[in-house]
Amino acid sequence: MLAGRLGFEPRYADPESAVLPLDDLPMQLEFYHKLRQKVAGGKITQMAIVIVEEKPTKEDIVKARKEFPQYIKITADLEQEIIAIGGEYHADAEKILVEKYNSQRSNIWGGGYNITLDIFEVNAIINLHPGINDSTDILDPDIRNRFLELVKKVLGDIKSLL
Amino acid sequence: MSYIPSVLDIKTDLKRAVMASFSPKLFADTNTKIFLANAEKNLESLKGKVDKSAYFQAKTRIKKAKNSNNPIEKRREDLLTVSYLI
Repeated sequence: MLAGRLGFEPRYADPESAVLPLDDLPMQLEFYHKLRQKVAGGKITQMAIVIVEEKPTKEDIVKARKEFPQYIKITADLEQEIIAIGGEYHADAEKILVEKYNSQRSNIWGGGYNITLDIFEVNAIINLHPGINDSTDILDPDIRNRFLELVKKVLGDIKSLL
Repeated sequence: MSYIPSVLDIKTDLKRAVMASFSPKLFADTNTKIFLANAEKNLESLKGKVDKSAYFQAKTRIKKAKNSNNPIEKRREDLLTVSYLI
């Protein structure tokens, strides 16, 4: 059984876990946080999200399919031309782009690659920008085309990597 | 003659539920609940016709979306994800 450095705290309210470890000190939490983030070769992998700046590898696609085997979520910064693939939520990828790549939220759009149908889609909750794009689809044809062009440029060979 | 639901019906109800969740009452809104209940009912009726893994993914996502402890944005995205997984 593992315990934090502060030992155990008895809990009586929850019958499933009579004893829970106390929270670890911040330094130790930071260690575990770093352990979850693997930075290698310019590609940052967090959860099942892979940042692709040029071309993805077969390994990247395997990671990106971890959450949904038949669907790869795509989150793209159209200004910096950076693409994040995979993950459970577009919002998680958006957070990485904003925090690690200084992306502006207004430049980030979402979609996905449907493996079964072999098509790129432009559908995501992060596409909702009140007053600019009031739909989960990208309605503006210019933004839509820019998104699809970038995605096809970077992920055009995705079928051969599956 | 009774109406036989299709996958498109489920997708439609899920997207409507997402949109209805933007009302002030969010997921507690009556429309959200009705659309979601319809989607779930139709998903059950198409259980044998939808791909097995997609069906279980959909069930898991809907369950997550109904959990009020999860962030509202992620609950919406769970429903939208189901709409393109099935």
